[in-house]
Amino acid sequence: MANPVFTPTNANSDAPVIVIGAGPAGLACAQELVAGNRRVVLIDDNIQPGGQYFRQLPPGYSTAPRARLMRDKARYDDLARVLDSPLLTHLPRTTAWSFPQPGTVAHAGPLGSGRIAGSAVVIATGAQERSMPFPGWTLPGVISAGGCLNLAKAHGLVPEGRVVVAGNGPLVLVAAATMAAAGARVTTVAEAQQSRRLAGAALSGVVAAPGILAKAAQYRAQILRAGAAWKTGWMVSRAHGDETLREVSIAPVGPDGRPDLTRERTIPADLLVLGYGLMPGSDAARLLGCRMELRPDLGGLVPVRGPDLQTSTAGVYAVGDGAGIGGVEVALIEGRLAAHAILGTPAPKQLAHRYRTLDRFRRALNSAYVLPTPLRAADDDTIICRCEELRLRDLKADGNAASGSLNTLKTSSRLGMGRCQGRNCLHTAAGLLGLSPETMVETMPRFRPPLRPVPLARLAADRDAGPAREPDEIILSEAKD
Amino acid sequence: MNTAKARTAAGQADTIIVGGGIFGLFCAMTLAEAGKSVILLDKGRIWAEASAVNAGSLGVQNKLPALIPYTLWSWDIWNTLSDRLGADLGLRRNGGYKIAMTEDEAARLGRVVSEQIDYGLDAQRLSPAALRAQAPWIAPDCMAATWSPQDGYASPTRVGPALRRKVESLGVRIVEGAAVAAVENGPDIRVLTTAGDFHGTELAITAGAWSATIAAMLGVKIPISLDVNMVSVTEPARPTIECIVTHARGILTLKQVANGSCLIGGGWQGIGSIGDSRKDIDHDQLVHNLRLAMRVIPGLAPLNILRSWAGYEGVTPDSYPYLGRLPGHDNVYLAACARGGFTLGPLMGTLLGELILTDRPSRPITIFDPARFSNAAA
Repeated sequence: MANPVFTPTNANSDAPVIVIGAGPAGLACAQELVAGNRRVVLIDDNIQPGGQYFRQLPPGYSTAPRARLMRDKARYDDLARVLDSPLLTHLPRTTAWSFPQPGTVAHAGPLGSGRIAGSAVVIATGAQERSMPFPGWTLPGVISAGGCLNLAKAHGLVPEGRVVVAGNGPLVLVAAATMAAAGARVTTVAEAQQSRRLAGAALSGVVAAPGILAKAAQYRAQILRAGAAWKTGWMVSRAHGDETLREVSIAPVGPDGRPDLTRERTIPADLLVLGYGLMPGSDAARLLGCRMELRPDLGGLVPVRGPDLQTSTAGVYAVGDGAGIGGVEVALIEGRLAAHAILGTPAPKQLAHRYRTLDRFRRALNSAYVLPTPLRAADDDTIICRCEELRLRDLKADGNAASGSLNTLKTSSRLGMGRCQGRNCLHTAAGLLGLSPETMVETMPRFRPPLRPVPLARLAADRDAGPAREPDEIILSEAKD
Repeated sequence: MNTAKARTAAGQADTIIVGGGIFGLFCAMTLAEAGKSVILLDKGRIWAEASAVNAGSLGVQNKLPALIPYTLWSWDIWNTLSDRLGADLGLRRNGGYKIAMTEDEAARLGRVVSEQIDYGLDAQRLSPAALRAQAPWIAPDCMAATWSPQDGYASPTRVGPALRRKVESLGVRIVEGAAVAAVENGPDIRVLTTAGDFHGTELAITAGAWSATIAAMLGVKIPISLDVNMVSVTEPARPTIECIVTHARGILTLKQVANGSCLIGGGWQGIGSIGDSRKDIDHDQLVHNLRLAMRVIPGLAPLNILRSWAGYEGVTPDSYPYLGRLPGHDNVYLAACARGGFTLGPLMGTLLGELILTDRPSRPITIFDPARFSNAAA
């Protein structure tokens, strides 16, 4: 790619639209923009586009025919055709690591590092998994649902032995069904929400999203066909094993969100797949200074958006799961709607109508999965911050444990200072220390660049960095010479 | 003690200290150990600005020659501080290299170290061959280096909470969220804050970059400019760099801390001012800071950068700290703004406490007189 040096953001200029994330939302947005004759730079961390949902096997790989994986390949192939357009520059394996100005993206990767000034920025960075620490959750053999799906989709890896899937949310269903379809031996599936709370959302889905509902029913049938026990209102209480996972204990969710240990059951397991919910990956919007809000019906902390899906920062749009959990169908439509807003063309009526319906449904579905009390299975010895190896005991004993501020607790305990920069631990730590979600959001440490860990050499390779201004020297002793 | 406690609870103390950084906490500790009642005020949380967000260097080689004795005296306090506070402070004194990458820098390094040695620094010049043998991780084209066994570092995130526990155990009342709105100096000092009014016999200003604002409330102009220093931290790596690394021109500091992370600083400037409360990364200067780090220590190249941040540092016109009475006010004291305040803080806070207690601090403080740039009548 030629060295892109553009003048500051100008919505009417020829500058490209920068789309961050090549999942369903990002690809759909890029496709619509290219169809509208706009140039697009598509930046993505992954080797291949597709994001999590459309994750494909690497070129040249194939799997045994029995591993029937749900990669939705036909729709992916249709979307991926946009990559061949001369209007689109795809930067794979590249991290959008910061925003020197709201319309400018600093990126770094093995293909080069630099800055791109865009006429608009579309954040399509997807969701992240919510962790739910419990005794034994760091044992080998305990894996997240997203990680497990990635191994299956991108590498054709299907777990051997007895698989237990547990969590809260549609991901439980997807992970269990995908494993079952791929030939894994799923023995137990535990969803923390009571089935009666889910019934209402399912009913509303009959009208709003019959396709999604049919798929869910198909997933469920797949799980039951595989012979797995299906339990609602149950959660993981403990995982057991020395070197690796041997057994999993599950228990009904008590009224306080803790496992009811009087009814705990222990089952043998070789793999425990955890899917305790998805939350929007909001770091990019936070770093950009977009106004944020807590929306349980959208899965957590999200950027405030207008009807055009623009954030409070002009020219910055947020689409897909990163702006509110909604799954692939919502992501595809949001990507297209944002593209129309950027192009200044009216969105087709049908698309807008479909979006309104799906948006209602996904909010009902997210709300239906919200538990009356947050789950709580960690004991004092459970590791909460994996990067810094902090146990709940360490956090409780910290002098700032009672400060009521995550940022203050961070400075003394090192909570969230490691590789994940708090993405995985701050939410759970806040809950376990009794902070309300509002307090958690208010006291979250400020997000600092880079957005993801980037090798020093790649940041140093920034070809668009301005001239150096060396720090003032203390020249007192020189003046005496 | 109980009456003192009742007094401080009512907002009265012998000394009111404004600013809960390292200067203020050491001043509070010194006064409280001598039996004085102390209220320590901070506009936000204590240990939240320069003391907390600096990179933790306790460098001697990177100090101005005239400050070398003070740095060594401060190290005397650091040396026993873990025992005194009963806490692991992440303190190491494994020495440090100061390096020069060009001939100019090498010449300058040689001149400055001679002067520093005259002032008491223990350092030796290393030939490039000796440097390569001792520290093969430093770039082979490094022109010259000095080594001092006196450099070291500590963990700001550990020191702050330990100091807080200590001063609170000594009866110091810490009031956070107390932004000073006005100061009245009559027979007594009255400090009006957003968390109430406080009365004392003396006032100590240890508010770092904010000290000028507090002094101005008493009609005294104290020149302080603001640096917005950037620091970056890498992911943990195999322990390799056992000491700190500084630069002949003061534009790089580097160390590998206990968990294996490398901290990269050097005073490269971010964006912001006290007025707008911004502390943003300047992406251009960050890149140059990292390039320099990689040029000096090539092995850093593959390490992931996890986070870059910026923090305020108050700076005086001559880079010497302020320490002494506020001009025109017998019962108002100031200690603030040392370049390398984390290193010098324990001494500066202690000397301020001694000045308030006895009028005779244990070390000479004339060169730090806050009146040296001030036109106000003394």
